[in-house]
Amino acid sequence: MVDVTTLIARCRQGDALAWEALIRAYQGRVLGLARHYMRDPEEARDVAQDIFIRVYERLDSFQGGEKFVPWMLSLARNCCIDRLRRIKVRTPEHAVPVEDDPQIPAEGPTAEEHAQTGESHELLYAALDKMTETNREIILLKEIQGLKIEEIATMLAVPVGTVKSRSNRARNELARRIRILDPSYGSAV
Amino acid sequence: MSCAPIQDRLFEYLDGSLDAATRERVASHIESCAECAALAASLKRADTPDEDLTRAVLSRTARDACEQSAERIPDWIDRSLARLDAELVAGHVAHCADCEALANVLRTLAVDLPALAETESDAHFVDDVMAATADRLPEWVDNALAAFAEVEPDARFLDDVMAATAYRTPALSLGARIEEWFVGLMQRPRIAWEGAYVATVFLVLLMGFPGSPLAGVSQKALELAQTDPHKIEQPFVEFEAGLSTTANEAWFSTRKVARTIAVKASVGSGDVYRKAKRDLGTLWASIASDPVNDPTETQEEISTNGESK
Repeated sequence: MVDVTTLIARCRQGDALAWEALIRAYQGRVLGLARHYMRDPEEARDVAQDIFIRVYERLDSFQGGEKFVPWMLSLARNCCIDRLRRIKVRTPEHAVPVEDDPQIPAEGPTAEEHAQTGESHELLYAALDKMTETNREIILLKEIQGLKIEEIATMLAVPVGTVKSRSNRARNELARRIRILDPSYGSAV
Repeated sequence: MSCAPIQDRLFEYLDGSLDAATRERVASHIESCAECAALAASLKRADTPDEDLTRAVLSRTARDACEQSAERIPDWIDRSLARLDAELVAGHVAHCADCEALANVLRTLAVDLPALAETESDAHFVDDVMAATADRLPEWVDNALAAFAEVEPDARFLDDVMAATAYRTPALSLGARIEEWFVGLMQRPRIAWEGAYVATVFLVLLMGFPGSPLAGVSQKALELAQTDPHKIEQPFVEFEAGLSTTANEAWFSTRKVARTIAVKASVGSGDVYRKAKRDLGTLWASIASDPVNDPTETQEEISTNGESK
């Protein structure tokens, strides 16, 4: 794969092929993140498209010194939050199904998706859905997307120590919920 | 074999520190001797740690060890704990089934969760994004174009443009150029002030020129204007009353011009002023003594006196 810095430089010169390569390289990450925030496949797809448009519009503000993935995921997170806020103020007849907290849409992955992703993923999604929003976001950014604690601290505008303590609490919460759903999970280790 | 030597070796037997031959002799004796077997079992129980006892002591002396262990297990799995803390957690996990299960779940999650980072996209996703961004001109493109909108020209740019366009200037004839210069001169906002100044200078020079018909008028007019009105008022009124209508108008005009000139001449030297005053005094004395004098003659006399002085 071509180096991302090179791809971005070519994108800035108006190279459509470089832009297409950049989308192909990161569409999975963007869709994955959008899916976890939106919890609705259609909404996730729409917001993923908006994310790439925003990335395209702000390519000039990306400094070569910083890493592209954290920068892109930060934009993606903001897009998702913006979309969730808009969903919150939608009229009921057009709103996506939500439960008590509009920021936490109740629908998890559909049954079809569960069948595709396998039993293990289904268990993980089910446990993630039951977590608190704060802990869930930490799991999403650190354990799933693999961002560093410092990058998450910058993204969430909280101290590094706070991210670290939240991370440990979140992992324990997820482990506890998984053991409730499936006591045998992890026994093969 | 008697029991005494066997019982003396029971601690070493349970520690596993006996050599192979002795261990076999002790083991075969324990199998055949119920008393020694009971003693060995008793010693073995005493050497085994009692987990219930440990928990009971901890619960009465300190916080729950599992709670503290759970806080540290994520870091222990990440290998980011200090060595001593890592050993303490490992020691706890080795004796705590719950914490061991927690550690196993966290290890499995560390493997499974990254697989959720990416989601398969449909075949049209890339095409849709490309279409959505194809006609969009991002702000940074606008900025880049704006940077090209105005470029600092080099030092020779102006000269080159002037040289390239110089042949387009039509050649004008001398008359046309003078006319163009004059029109430009006349159209300046200050032309009225400049014209007034030149006219005044011309008039003053005309009065000071010896052959001019206005020569000496300024001095006489100054004297006239500055003569005490009490001394001349009565003879002057009588003088004006004796004039004919035509002569009166002519005299009035002359007097008006004289006053104007006198004001201009007031900037002259003291000698000029005194001479004019003296001549005008003589003139007015003669006018006062002969009120029927022709003003035309009087005007000639003024000119004559001015020239003679």
